[in-house]
Amino acid sequence: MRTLPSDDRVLDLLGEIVSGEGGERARSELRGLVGAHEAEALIEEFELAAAAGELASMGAVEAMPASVRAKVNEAAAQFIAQQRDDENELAPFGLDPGRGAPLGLAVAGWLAAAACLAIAAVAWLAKPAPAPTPSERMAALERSAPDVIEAPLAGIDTIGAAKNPLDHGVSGAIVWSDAKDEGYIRVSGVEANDPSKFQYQLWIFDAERPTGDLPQFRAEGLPEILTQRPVDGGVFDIPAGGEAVIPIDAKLPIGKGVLFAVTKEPPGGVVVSDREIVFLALRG
Amino acid sequence: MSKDSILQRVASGDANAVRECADQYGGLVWSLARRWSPTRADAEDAVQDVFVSVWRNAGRFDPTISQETTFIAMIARRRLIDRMRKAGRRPDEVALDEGSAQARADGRAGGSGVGAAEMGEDAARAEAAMRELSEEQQRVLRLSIVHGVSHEKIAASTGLPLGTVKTHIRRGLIKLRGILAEPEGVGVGAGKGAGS
Repeated sequence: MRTLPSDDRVLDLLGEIVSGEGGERARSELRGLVGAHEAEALIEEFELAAAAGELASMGAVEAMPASVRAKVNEAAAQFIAQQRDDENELAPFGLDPGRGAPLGLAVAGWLAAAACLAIAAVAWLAKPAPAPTPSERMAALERSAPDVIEAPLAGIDTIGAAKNPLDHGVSGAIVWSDAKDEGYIRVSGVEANDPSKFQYQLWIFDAERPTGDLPQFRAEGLPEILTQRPVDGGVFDIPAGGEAVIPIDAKLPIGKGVLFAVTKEPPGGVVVSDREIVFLALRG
Repeated sequence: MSKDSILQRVASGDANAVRECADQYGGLVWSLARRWSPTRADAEDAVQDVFVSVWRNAGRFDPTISQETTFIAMIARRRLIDRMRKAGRRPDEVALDEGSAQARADGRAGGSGVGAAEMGEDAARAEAAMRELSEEQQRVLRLSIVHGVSHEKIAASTGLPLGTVKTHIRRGLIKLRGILAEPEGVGVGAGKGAGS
């Protein structure tokens, strides 16, 4: 247990937060007084204390109604299925959080737990609901997101650069919704990769996140947006046959995705790319 | 029977533990949801929300810090308070349905009678700790952390200065926090982990 701060203001803020009186303003002030890490640790200690106090005062528990229990059972099945779905989707793409890039160790741990949950779920659920495939999820996004765009993929030569040998005549599209921050790459005609040698990485150029500080990428005939710093959209692999539907894993919220570029990168991806673009999609 | 708690098994990927968690703590979460939700319908929605949050946070449970019951109540309160804040309401500002206002006031929700000891050792210790506070301090603390009444409204309803209300809450929480630091076997009931 941490040493208790002597500052009454800190303690008052903790009291406000754990009773629901203090919102983000109180949290922000607390972080300013004791630092973010200490603030979160103190909040949790006081939340536990308040929880114990509430348990002590409850006096009774009411049995959960059967109708509510049924909904919880449904949520449990979805929770397990979702973890299994995530594991099925992410593992083949060779995500390597150990490189300090996109995902972090915490997510890696969670994925491991999710994998175990998914395996156990098969035994638990006699007839588990089939998790939607990326293709099905993409179709659902196209049906449900009014702002969804479909930008055709093209080889790098379409913007004046030399053709990349990994692009064997790429076809497909980026399907993307700014409102949902969700999207997919439907691709064919790209060389399958050996994840131990290199991987593909998606970059999203956001028109509402102007940086304009990479003038070295400005060139006649190339879109001006390429001078921006893009958002990492995740690392993925192309299987044998060169066809795949890949969920986009944007690491930051996207305001308006206008250019989606796929680069060839070392296994695990990179934080800053040398921009060996293989193919790209421009919003129309 | 496994030595691991339900949450530890959830965190390790035991799908059966996900269901057992709902079996074991369904009543607790439902009761907390009823206390912190303005209507029964809101409480019904909140229960699923709370359980998903519990499962996702299962890996953070540390049996050396709190009992499982207390940890789940903490996650539940956090989610319920968050929902309340997003809705721009406080429990004391809404019309509680089906007589739950009285249930909240006297700590009985119309279900089976379960005392603090059955809520786990943390709760039993918390009850003992709260009894060491003055009547006034206990009342103020319960109004705040159990009933979610704003500090200003507590001051208005009790006639106490706002500063005194804050002091009572501050001291009460510090006392409750202290019980979580006590070694196993001190206080009421079995060692930590019992009742969960």
